[in-house]
Amino acid sequence: MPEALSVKSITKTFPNVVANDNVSLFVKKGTIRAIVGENGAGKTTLMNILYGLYQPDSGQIFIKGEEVKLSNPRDAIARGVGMVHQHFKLVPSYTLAQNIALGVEPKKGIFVNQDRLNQSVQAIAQKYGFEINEKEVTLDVSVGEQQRAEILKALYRGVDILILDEPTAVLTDMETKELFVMLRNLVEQGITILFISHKLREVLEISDDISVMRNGKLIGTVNRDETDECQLAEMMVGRETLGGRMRKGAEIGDCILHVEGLSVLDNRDLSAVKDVDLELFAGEILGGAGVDGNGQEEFVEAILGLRPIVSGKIRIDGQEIQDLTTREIREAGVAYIPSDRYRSGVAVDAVVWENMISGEYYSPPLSKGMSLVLPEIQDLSKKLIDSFQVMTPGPNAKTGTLSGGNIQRVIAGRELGLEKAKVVIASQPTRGIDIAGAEAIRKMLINYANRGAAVFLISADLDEVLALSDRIVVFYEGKVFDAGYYDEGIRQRVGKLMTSGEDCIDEIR
Amino acid sequence: MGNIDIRSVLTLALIASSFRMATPIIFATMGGIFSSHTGIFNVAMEGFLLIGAFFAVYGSVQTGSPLGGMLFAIVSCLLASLIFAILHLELKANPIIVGLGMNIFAIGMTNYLLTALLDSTGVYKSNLIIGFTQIQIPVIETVPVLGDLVSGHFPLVYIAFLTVYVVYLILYKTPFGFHLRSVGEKIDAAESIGVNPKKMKYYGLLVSGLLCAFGGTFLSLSYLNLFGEGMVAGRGWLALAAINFGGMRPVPSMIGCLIFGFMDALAVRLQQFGLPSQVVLMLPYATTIIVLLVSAIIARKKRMAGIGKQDDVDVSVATSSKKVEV
Repeated sequence: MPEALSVKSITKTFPNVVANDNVSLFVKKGTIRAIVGENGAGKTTLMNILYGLYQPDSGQIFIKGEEVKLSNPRDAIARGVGMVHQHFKLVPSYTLAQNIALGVEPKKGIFVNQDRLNQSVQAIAQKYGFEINEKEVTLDVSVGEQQRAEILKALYRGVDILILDEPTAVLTDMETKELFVMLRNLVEQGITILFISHKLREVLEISDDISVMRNGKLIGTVNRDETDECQLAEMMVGRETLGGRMRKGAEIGDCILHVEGLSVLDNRDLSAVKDVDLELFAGEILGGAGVDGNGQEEFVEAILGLRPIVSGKIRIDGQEIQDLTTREIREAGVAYIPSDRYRSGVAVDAVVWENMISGEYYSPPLSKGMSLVLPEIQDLSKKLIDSFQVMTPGPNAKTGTLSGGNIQRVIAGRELGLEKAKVVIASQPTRGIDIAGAEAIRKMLINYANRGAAVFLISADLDEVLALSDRIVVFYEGKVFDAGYYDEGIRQRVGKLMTSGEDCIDEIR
Repeated sequence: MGNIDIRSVLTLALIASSFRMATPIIFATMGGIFSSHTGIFNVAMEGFLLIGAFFAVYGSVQTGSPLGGMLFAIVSCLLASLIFAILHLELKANPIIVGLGMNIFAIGMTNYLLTALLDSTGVYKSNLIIGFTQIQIPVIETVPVLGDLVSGHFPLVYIAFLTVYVVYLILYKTPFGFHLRSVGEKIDAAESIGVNPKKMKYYGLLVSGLLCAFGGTFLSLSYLNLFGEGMVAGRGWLALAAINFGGMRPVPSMIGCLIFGFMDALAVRLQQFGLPSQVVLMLPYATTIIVLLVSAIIARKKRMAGIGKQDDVDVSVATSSKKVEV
């Protein structure tokens, strides 16, 4: 079968990261190739190289047998390679047809020939079997239809190799089914599709061949008929021996946080957390693994009282907290290290000492009547800066000028420094911060658990979860699956749960 | 005060003078619509109008022709908007701050040049200023009502209304317009099809400068034949209100301008009936506040009605952008 596209020995490095390490790939014309891997495996980097958004440090790209240099997306489109990004690039107030033909509009004199534009879009849609109301305004149509418009936008430009970056991430189940029917149609017409995903079930359903990436390397390519979810999961997470285990023996006490039947909606009013039960014990570090966007954020926000819950009960030491305000929940003993430290963690324009006391400023000894007790505050913030090793010119430095790692130390100081919390919820606490900073935060969490508090560490970084946790749960499509206590087989168990949820759960047991 | 006959106030002449009063606001509004669609809220139009008005007078005196004056206004306003564009687009200054700075600069500069070039303070009035003359349209001028309303205006009044149509055509019917508007509405989409957003922003600002030159020229060579330092009197700000009222669409925004123009004309008219001028002159501005309030309430209602759909779009972007992969 003729080749549509191949790459040989592509390497791409970013500062401190080898995103693609000597990757070679060969894709046959008229097939669907899935590229799977965990976050950070290098899938998107590879696709961005094929679309001309990045240039590789070394290696060759061949399109239809011919070696090419792609210095921008226009080059790629001219060679017949189109990409549909995860977030759509459509103008909300334009009709779908106007978006599809934007930049290559049929003209009548100096004006856009709107009739011909609609007809040509409809013609393309019919050719490939897409159902689309091309005269609808983009804003008013469903996400699925917007995605169809994005795909048509590429096809309208004569593309015959289509890269889809996690196309199902934004779709409902129904829309996903429709998408797959359309993709099959496209392939029958000779279009080649590269499909990025980490949902193995979908990948097995739609692709002809599946390439697995891990840590920037292409681990292997398998035929759909010759593999299964469990083999793919193993390829994705690897078999490497567990290194860097930081957690040593824990003394586990009573249940402190008890979540029962919790259901929460996301910002779109879709179900994000589905009837979740969870117990968190004193002295343990519970790892929350899972690919981003599987309900972790909504779950955490619900516990903190930041997001209304649909149903369920949350108890701290037996006290129900689901109807309390965030301040009352914090006073009940919950500390929180949020995932977005710049937006929810600190006020970046406030100075360090202000951020350090922002959880406690209203109560004695930090305040008295209506006024703050500044000497007390200065003492406390100096103490916290010392004990949490915040590298700052002083308590009066603007928080936003500190590095990410130091901002995280400020947050840790505020949340853990007074040693009041019984439960610590740390969401992606080390994401995007330097190694030393990450190590420091991890040690703080371990120390805090050793003092008898319960720590819930939620992280998309599987190695981190494995290094710290006594027990691990996995978030998958709004549900929480228990992967059990730490032992030699936990990496595989977690890996399978992360990518396929309950389908594999029987096998694991 | 209580015995004003409504019929003697609401005359055809009042409507006709509303058109005249609306003209400079329409020019500024159409210019502002252009830059708004590239994502720049141009608060410098007040200053551009003032610069245009001054150089129109100066050019008219120098060349002895109103068209010469207009040419001076165009060149100076294009220069002013080019400075704005460079400060914002090349040197990355905040457009609101630059715009406010331009307004203050325009006041200072015209004041200074009034003394330096025309040897006057406050106001320059002279026989040397050659303004435009009104056009009587043959046949139509003899038609009752229509003739009163449509005939006998300055050329720039007709051009203003023509501009509304041209701006509408350019923005909504040409490929260029689609590309320009995509920059303001969804810059990712513009970039994905190879549109250069910066270039479009330059166009937006330069067009707003150009049309403010027309507006300024109208003020000092048609509406009045003089230059006075306070003569723009907030029309640049009213234009922003009109843009907001019309949701950046040319025709609805023009209707906003006509409402302001009508209130302006009414204020002048009511003064003749001995109403206290302080109260009467407040009318256009009080109207602005009411108009903005009403349009905000309507916009809010629309938003509430369509909230589910809009959220879908926004959230899909928000959730997908959360995921960062190297």
